[in-house]
Amino acid sequence: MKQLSLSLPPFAPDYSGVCSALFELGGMIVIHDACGCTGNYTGFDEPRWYGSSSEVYCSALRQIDAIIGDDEKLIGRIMEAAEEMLPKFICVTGSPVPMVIGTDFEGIAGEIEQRTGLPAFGFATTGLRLYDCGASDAFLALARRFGKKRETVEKRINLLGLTPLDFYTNGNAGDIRAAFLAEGYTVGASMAMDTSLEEIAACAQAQANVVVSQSGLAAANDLYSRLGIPYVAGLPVGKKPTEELLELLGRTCADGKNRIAASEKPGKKVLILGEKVISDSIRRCLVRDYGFEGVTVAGLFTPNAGLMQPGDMQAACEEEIAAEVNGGYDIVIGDPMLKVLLEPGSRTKFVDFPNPAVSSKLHWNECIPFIGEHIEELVKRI
Amino acid sequence: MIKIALYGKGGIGKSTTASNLSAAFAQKGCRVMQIGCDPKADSTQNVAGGEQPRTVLDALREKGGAVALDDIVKEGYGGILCVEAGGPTPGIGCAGRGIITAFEKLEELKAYETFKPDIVLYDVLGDVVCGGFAMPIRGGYADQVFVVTSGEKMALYAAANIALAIENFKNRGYASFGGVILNARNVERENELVEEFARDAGTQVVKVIPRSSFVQRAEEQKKTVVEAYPESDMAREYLDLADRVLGICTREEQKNA
Repeated sequence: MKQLSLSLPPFAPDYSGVCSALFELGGMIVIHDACGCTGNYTGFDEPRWYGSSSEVYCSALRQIDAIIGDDEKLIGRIMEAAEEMLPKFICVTGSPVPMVIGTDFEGIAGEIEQRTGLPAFGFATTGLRLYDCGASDAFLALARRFGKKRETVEKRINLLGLTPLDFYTNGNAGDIRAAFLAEGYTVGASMAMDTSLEEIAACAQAQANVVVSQSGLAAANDLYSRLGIPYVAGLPVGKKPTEELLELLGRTCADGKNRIAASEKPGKKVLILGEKVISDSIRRCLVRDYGFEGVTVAGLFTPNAGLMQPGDMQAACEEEIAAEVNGGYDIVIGDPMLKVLLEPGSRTKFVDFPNPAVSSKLHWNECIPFIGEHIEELVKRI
Repeated sequence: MIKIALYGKGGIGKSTTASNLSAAFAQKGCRVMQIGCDPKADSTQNVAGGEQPRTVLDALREKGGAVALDDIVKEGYGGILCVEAGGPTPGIGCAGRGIITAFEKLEELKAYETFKPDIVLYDVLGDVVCGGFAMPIRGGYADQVFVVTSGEKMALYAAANIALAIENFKNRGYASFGGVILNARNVERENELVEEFARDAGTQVVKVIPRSSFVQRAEEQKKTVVEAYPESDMAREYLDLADRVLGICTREEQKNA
């Protein structure tokens, strides 16, 4: 019962993460479900959906299909649609019912690839994990599939871990790119917003990767272990932290070592609840640029041991989030939906920082750009 | 690492064959992991040294996310690593999903990387009744499937279903049909019937295991024949079976390399 949420909505699930990661790349994405999950993704987790031409389909799984387990029917329908739509790749991803019946997504993708000659990916998403796991699986699959040895181009980088579920569509992705361009870097693949499959196919030209959210870390580790491309984890938020991140990136390009932007001392002044890399970057900015002392970060999504730093916290359910929100902080920064967890009469100031993976379209139009100098807008509200 | 799955109709002698095969592999110096994939959780009872391992699903039920390898892997005769997937409460739940969950847990806990077995032997319930019980055939699990059968009609019927499942997965590059192990029940024209089935299924009869009272006597002591009566002819039959199975797996491995 610990997982029970009385006030919060379910956060964006893993299949939304897969779809969000692949949305802009010209592929055909099929969610194997009875329509609810596809509706959840397109209606509530994908701000780019309306007006887009991306191909996201529902397999319209029915009870009899689940009982019979007729993979051929699903494969046949996908083949038919692919002949008409001519996608660059095909992705089949799961939902709760296929999880229960053990649908073999990798096997199905393998058969589709054999028959169409197109790259095909299968993800055994369940709807029970969070979006960052699904996005991570998709980025890792792209890296493994397309990351083949190439000649390194000096000062070329990839950005790993971009989806609107973390960065929305209000310019954050472009601002991250701009921060590196201004320092003379070229950006190859920015997985996967404002990029193309061709750029991803050339990702191994990069001298280093920049992990911009926790969903980019698995791909970064793969590219490091197979091709020796090192990474830096962090975001250019504020002035000093941006300079420090660029300095770290320069060192990583020079010595090939992986680095995570430094942590700051936690404390009871401010609590930031959210995605780990984003929250860490905002913390650094509050401390280094604005002189806050005692800023703590609590990850809201899937715990990632590779990014945890001393003093960090992790909330796995509403009960734990409520305990942290009421942990005696002067200021709590988080999605507006978390505000309801503050105890009556609390003296803690709650600062809204909308997160599409939490409150979906209820607040995504209020998402604040936070890259570079844009962070000022959030600081003004504190 | 050689990965083998043993399938066959319920009650045909799969677990007896699997346990004796594991014991024979162990006697030849191999580190073996035997994974029982049957809700009854009785696959490893004759190699576990008298005390059965706690099933993966029972451990999950009791300890949730805190399950460790020590909770579910028990070392038995000859260092055989015994694992039982287990099953749901009888009459409710989903046994197939249980197998999937148990396999996912073993992977999550890095069981294969930790113990580094030379041979993994999946002993799978009766028939390939659903996606869950096909898991051992699928990618990353068994490389070779062996079917235990007698010449009885229902046993051959189940064997044909298993052959069909292997065939269905052929395009996905999964496990191959290693062969048929004839666990003799002394029915009329038994060898002939089983050989005919093997021919039709495009495979071979690996060995005929004769009936022997040593099997029952060893099981009464919760042991394999290989352990209880190592000098018996029957123990030699299982040692010979182990050689033949290993030979097929090695040949297939070389072919695929």
